Amino acid sequence: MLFWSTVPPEHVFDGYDKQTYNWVEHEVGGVKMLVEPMQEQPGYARIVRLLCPNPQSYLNPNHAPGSTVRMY
Amino acid sequence: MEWMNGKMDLPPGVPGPGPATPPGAPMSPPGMPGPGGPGGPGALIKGPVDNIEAIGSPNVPSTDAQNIYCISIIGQVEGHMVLPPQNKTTKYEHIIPQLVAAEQNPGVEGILIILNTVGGDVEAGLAIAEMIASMSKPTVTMVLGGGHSIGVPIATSSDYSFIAESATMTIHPIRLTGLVIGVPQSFEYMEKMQERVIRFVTAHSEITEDKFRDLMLTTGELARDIGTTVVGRDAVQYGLINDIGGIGKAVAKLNAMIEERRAEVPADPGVLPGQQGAMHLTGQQNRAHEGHNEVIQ
Repeated sequence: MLFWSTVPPEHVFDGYDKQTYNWVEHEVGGVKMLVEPMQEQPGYARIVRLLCPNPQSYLNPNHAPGSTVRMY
Repeated sequence: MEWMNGKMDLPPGVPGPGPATPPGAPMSPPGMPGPGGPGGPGALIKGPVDNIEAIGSPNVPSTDAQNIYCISIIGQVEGHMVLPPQNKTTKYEHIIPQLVAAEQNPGVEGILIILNTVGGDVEAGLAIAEMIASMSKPTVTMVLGGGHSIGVPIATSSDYSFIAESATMTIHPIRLTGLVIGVPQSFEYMEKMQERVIRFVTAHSEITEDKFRDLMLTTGELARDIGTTVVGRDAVQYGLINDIGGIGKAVAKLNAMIEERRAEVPADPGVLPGQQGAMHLTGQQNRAHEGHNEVIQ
């Protein structure tokens, strides 16, 4: 990957090696997505990205990355 | 529940249930008895409640028919690597299907791309730029604040581009980030990537290759780098961007382009006389297929 930005790379990549991910696959209304369960709010998760082949589901603002979904 | 009062802290850009209501709209604050009696506010709350039960989100998808689809590209363009959380990013794996959906959806007639980006992944940015450039529907890009580095090819990728008078675009060489092994092949690779960007920008805007290279390699302009910061009017003067303008001009231009396209393309381009028959046949085949399955089962 080539990174090209006006922001210095030492700022952008600060903490890159310390990132931890707890991502799980989850399905909401037939749309499969990768979510990160919220520690502070059990039962809810934040969308990381969609894994859905239907392009129309990407137009739903509720499916934008960072949105909150209910898991159970 | 805080969201009922419309006080919930939503990230910028996310339409909140409270502030999104235009003043004067027949809507009283949820929870307060409205003039319409219990039916009014009750019905308003019902939507978000249903929504939060179904998908756990207070945002209500808009049902208004809109023929313009707007995509904002902000912060870093995130591509092959997940950037640490201090970065605000636009994920290209979400932008690309959105562009596919906009191209495919017959309700969308024009695409408006708003840029305020500091750069990011070169390949992801070029992918977005190529997607925008290859769309059959009218596209307008608008640079607000900044469209730096890989934001430059994205800004030029549309049919018509605008830049706000105060907005800037930084044109500088693709740099070594420390993530690339410093061998001659790496430099050649970077040189090739830079050529790709230069070729894309010169092909999609009025700027000449020599001028773009000049701007890219100017010394003494930037504190930490070589290159140039091009401000609004200069970007138009160099031919990088088509016109100076804000959102009003951008939407007006997009609407004009949509009208032009409507005049060129027949009202319903999806169904041609020949195709209609073919679609009908497909429907019959599907039904026949279903019937066949029933017989087997």
